[in-house]
Amino acid sequence: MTRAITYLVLAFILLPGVVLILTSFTEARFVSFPPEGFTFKWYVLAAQKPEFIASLKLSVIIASVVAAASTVLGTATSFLLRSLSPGLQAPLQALVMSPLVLPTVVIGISMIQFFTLIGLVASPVAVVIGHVIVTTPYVVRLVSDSLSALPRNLEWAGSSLGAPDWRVLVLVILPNIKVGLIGGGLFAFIMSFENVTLSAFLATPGLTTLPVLIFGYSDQALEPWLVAVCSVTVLLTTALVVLLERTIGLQRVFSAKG
Amino acid sequence: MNKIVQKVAVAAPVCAVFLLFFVLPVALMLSASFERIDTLTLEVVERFTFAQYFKFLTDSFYLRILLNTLWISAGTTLVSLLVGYPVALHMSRLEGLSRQIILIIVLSPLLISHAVLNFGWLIVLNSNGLVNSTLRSAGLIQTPLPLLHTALAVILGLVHSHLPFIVLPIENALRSVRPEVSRAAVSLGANSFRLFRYVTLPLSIKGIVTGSVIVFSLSASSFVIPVVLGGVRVRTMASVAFEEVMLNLNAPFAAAVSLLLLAMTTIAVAALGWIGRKLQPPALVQQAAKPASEGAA
Amino acid sequence: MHLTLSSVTKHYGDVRAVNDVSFSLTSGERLSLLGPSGCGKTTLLNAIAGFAEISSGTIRMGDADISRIPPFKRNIGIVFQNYALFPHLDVEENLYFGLKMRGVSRRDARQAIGEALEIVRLEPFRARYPHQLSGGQQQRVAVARAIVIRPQILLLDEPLSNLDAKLRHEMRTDLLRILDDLSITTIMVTHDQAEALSLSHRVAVLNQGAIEQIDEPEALYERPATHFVAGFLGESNRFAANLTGIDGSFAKIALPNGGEWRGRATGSTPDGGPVQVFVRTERIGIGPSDGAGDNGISGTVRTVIYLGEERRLVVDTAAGEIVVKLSARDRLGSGVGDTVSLCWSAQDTIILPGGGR
Repeated sequence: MTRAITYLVLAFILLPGVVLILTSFTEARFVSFPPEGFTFKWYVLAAQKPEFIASLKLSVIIASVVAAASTVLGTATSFLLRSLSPGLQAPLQALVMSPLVLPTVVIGISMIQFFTLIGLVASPVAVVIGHVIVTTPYVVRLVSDSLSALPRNLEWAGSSLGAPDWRVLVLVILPNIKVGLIGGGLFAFIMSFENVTLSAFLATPGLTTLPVLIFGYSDQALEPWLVAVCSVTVLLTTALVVLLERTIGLQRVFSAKG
Repeated sequence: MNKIVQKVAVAAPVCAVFLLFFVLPVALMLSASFERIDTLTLEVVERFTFAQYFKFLTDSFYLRILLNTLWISAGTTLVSLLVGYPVALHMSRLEGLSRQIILIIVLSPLLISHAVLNFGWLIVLNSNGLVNSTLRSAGLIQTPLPLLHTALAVILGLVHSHLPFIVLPIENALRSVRPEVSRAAVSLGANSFRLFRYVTLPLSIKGIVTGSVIVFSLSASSFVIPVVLGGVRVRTMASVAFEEVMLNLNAPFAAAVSLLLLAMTTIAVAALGWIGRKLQPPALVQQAAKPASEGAA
Repeated sequence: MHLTLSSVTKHYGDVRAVNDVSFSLTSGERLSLLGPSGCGKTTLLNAIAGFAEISSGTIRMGDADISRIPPFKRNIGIVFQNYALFPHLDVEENLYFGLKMRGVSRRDARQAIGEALEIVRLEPFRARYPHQLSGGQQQRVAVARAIVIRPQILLLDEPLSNLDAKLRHEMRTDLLRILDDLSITTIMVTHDQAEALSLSHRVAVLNQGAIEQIDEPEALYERPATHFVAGFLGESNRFAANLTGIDGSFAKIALPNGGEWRGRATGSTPDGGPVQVFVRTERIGIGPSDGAGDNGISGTVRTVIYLGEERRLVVDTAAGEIVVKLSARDRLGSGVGDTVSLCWSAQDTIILPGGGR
């Protein structure tokens, strides 16, 4: 019984992605289902669309910068959280984790207002900052997880053998939390790359990330080349997801709040 | 002493980033929600007024949107629960690769952009999309059903993208129940319905509440899905706030709407938590709170 | 290298984890810190290692005050309770770590690493990672890693507690051999008295952050100075009694039930007043007393517990319940309900001043 329902639900979850991939090969000029014929021409067309290439490039650059920045910031925060007394730990934890709790509209509206105020509108910097704020909590969670799995004794062993703090960090701690670091960075990259809720506020004309581009086309006639674009992102993300699950185990990112 | 200097050196930039780019903007937005601007010149005409809140709470048009948001979020939560619970139950009994595959599928909507998923749903729900074509070729309908731009379409999209948040905590809670407990119940004569009703369900209340809280608040504040799948006909507070700030440039009103949304979800979340505590047998709190085995590793 | 602690105190808030502890070790001496969990022994070890900053007092290594020196400059080798081997490094790299910190080139390190592995008999395991080793092997790698840096002091934190009972016996013998070979000044922390008594030259019994008694193992066991030590080491029957007089090297004591025993008198035994009497369970025999110095009492056997290598009897007597531990060699006909007479020598009757209980 539960097995049958589970398979139905899984089919439901896979439905939009599968439909996108199937439809992207249609020969028809307008998207309809079932697709007609089989062709790669929409992929070729998409590859020739400058707006697609530009937004893809922008998305990749932003996601890379965000991944690097939030990994550094999140790792620093995790180390800090670990070394603080519980009295100071709680407020810092609350501060850093709160972007996960607040509705994205609240964050989006507050940021667009703030960046307008300081004159940083339509700048990729604003998008990067916004993404870093919402991806860092995930990095903190993953790295803190790895750190707490690390016995304190290990550091002590390092320093008793004559390693000063910085060498303990480089030679003992970092190699042992590698998985958390890579996973955190990878996850931050995906979260930034797929983000539309915050980007929709910050990625103003001339600064369109790929999801914002697709979002912008959603109320118009469905063009097959956009479906091809969507299907590419679906396949790309699937590959990254499998990689992520292999490296860190996806569950650790989402389970247990804070 | 040296350690303290080190800690401050790390704490300062971390706190600075979050205070400057997160707390400050939210604080500014809070204060902006009490302003009033001239909608043509965008000049601030009043510094402190409840006008924006007043405008929303006294206009039946907006109140209907509030109710809409409430019932769409509640509906999404309920459907997610009904659909997600069996999946969680099934997953909690699996180990190894088969569980890993289901986990990846369940989590996939979180990692694919909502914009992309919306596009997929458009193709499914379109007048010449998957559902309508299937029904038409089966001879069940002549004219396409208007599926798109309905509350149902919005709920469908929301359930789809927020399902993981309900499956994971429930599976977590179920996994923390040791299999011996179920075996004990069966050995004491419980049939599978009673096993579920008196053992499994009570032990997963915590997961149900956690999941419902997350799904409710995320659905209430989602705007990308309502904007695309609901169109102009199905509006939610989040989509109104989005349009107000991005299209009408009325930031104070958008701020007020999104803060009202935050207040509404906070109340609903508190209510859900209260119900959960009422339902949960107190003796079981500890049992259910035990962390799950590291199944994903 | 000798090590001297003077009035070392460590408090966390109002809690004194270590309270005014002083002792010193001569070069090559081995000391065990023995006590129940929470007695402050681990905190004391951490203070010596430098992981816990002491609140007052001084720790001297040779002539140098090391109280404020960071751990990585102390040159103390530590074997951690869970071994704390670096999981990302193989055995050889684990051993090389400390040498690398000391600027030893990899080529020069080879010999030292080889020697250390030889001492712990793990040469064939050089290239293994910690997770590929058994608990006993990990323990020996931890020892090797700590000694390869030729530390001036060696600290062992519950060195055998993570091993199962059988392996622990084997490793104890092994460890004794290694420590004898090294003849390095060593402090080990343990809650296991067999470990403490067998591995060290002297044992310090800690209770509530302070040293109760510090002495050689046999002296500690035979001549406990406090109620705590008498009760903590081994298993004793305890009686409240009154000291009535001293007769040479024996003391006369009167029990509340009217009985009279003789016990060992030492220089610190008082002339009279309330005392506590301790008699170890394994020093009590069954049968009529056969010496003038003997104490005896009769009672009824309530329970017999068979444990293979030994047998424990719980006997109800006029002086209260007495537990007797009989070795497997003692043939015993009596069972539950039988009347038996218990006897033990006055030498084994320990008298400590004070009322109590």
